[in-house]
Amino acid sequence: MAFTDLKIGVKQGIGFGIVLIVMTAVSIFAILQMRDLRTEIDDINEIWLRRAVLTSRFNLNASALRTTQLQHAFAPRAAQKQVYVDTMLVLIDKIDLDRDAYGQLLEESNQRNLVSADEERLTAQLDSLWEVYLDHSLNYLDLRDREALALLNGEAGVVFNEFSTDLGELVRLNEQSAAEAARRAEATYRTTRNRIVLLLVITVLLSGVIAGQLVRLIVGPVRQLVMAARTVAEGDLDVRLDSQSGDEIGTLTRSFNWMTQSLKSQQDDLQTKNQDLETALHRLKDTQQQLVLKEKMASLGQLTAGIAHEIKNPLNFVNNFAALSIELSDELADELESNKDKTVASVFDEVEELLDDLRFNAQKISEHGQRADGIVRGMLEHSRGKAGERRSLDVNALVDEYVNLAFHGMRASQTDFNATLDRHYDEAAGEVALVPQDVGRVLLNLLNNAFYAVHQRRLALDGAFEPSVSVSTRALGGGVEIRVEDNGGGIPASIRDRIFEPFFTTKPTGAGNTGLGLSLSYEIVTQGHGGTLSVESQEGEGTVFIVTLPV
Amino acid sequence: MNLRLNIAMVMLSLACCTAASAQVAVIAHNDVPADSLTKIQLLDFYTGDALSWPASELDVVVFDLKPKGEVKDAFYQYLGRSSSRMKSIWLKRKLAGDGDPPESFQTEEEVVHYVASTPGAVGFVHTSKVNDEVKILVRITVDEG
Repeated sequence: MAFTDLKIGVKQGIGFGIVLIVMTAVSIFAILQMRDLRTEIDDINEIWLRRAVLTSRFNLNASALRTTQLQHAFAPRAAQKQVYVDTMLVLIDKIDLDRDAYGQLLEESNQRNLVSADEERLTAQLDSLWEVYLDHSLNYLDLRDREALALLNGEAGVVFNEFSTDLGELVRLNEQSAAEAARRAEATYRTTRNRIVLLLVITVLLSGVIAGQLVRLIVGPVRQLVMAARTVAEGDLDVRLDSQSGDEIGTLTRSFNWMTQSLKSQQDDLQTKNQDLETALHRLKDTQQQLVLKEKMASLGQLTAGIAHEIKNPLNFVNNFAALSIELSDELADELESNKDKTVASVFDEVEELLDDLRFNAQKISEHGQRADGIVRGMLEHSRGKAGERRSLDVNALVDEYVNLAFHGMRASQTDFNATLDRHYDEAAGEVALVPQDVGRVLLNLLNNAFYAVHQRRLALDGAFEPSVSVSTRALGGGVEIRVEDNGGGIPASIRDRIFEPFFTTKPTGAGNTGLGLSLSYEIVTQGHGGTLSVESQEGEGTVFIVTLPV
Repeated sequence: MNLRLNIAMVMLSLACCTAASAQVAVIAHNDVPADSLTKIQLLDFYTGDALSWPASELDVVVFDLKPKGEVKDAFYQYLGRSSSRMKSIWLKRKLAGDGDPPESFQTEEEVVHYVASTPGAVGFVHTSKVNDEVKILVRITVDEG
């Protein structure tokens, strides 16, 4: 398994482990070096210094012993001699103790090669000399005063001087060795300190390098991920990252790649679906427009039927009176032809009568022509101006006009239709700013529905029913209310909430019925004019639609 | 003194050439009530701490060898005390009036002779010097370096 495939924790563990091992090694090295140093210092304290001390003390005590021996030999009285003997015993004990200690120390030093050949030689020599001197010491005790002194000052003195010289040399050697040991200890201390400092520096650097590598291992890919995430956030989903590492970051990177890939494919899907939806929406809008157009055409059809009826009526009068006038004119012409030779006075009464009839006819033609003209002008009046443009109009006039159009339109399409039509217009309704074509369409819709309802009920009940539609206006504070009331079958409560939904209808489909009438009316009143359109209905008793329009 | 030194030198060279390894025997008068001695018993004899033979009223008489050499060195090494240290002990005894140091002889033959002729005597010589007149209580073998 490659190093890059290891988990971050393991990588960290290895990194810190290496640092730990190096630090442990440095510590062990330092401890070992300190031990060496400690040994050097111990050597100085426990061996060199002690050896110097013991040797010096041996020298001192030996000199004291010799002096006491001389005093002992000189002492004339036994009591005095005894004092010196006691002193000698103490001194010999001290010397023995020191020499025992020295012998042990020398043995230890020998084991550690801390005794030079010179020292060894000197020590052996001293031992021999001391033994010889002790022999003399034993011997002089057996001699009388003068002989004893002679021995001590003579042979023993020579041996002691030799012994003293050698001992001095040994002390010097010891001191020299102690100084050398101190120098060695100092050198060891310096070396140790330098090595430990160097190793610490190396350890710190190594730790830094390892830590840096670990951080690079983690931070590098994380930074790449951050950049990639930003790129993705900016909308580029084609980002892919290298992910050869087997650690958590590698897993994260692969997950990131998988995520962006998944996002990309989902985005592609979404785009495709969006395009489909857009196409569908276009199609729907087209269909809606066609439907609205169809609805408009249907309204127009009813309107046309009403208009045709309105104009047909005066036109009939015009035609009839015109035909009558032609006949009268012919009759007058014949009368004048047959009485050509007669005097005017004889036919005057007849001619005058015919002329009166003609004048009457012309008056009627004129009257009904003006009526038709008025109707057309009214139509033009309402259709004038741009679509959707508001104008202030007399509400009662507008309502009345569309009541007529709707009623006659209904009668034109349904020959057997008949109903009582009540109109109650409140004179106070006055003028309201509205879009006449749009409000006209609303009124046509409501009236047509009312006529349709009463007609259907009359067909259902077959005669035992008096169909009636009532239209009324009423001034409100700051607006006007238009009510269209019928005594048809009413709207069942179950569908009352749905009647303003587009494409909802109870009429048979086809034949120009789109189900958009009430929905469009609701839109025109509420959104187009800021008014309200509500319905109250009792099944079996009738329905009332209430339009309110603000001034 | 010169004469003594010369003899010592002769003895040293003899010891050197006659024995490759120092075989020292601790010898005693044939009548002593012991066939062997421990190191401590021997040390007690030579330091004057023990004055009579164990379980007996027979006085101990200790003999030393005067010249320095392999035999003497081997013996005192065995006892764990240097000869100078032994001298020190005897000096103290003498000063305290507690006895005299062992009598010492110039030759091993003398040692053997006096041990054989003195009741309760103990001495030490090279094994080659031992004869039937004495009995060996301890054998000391010291490897030569």
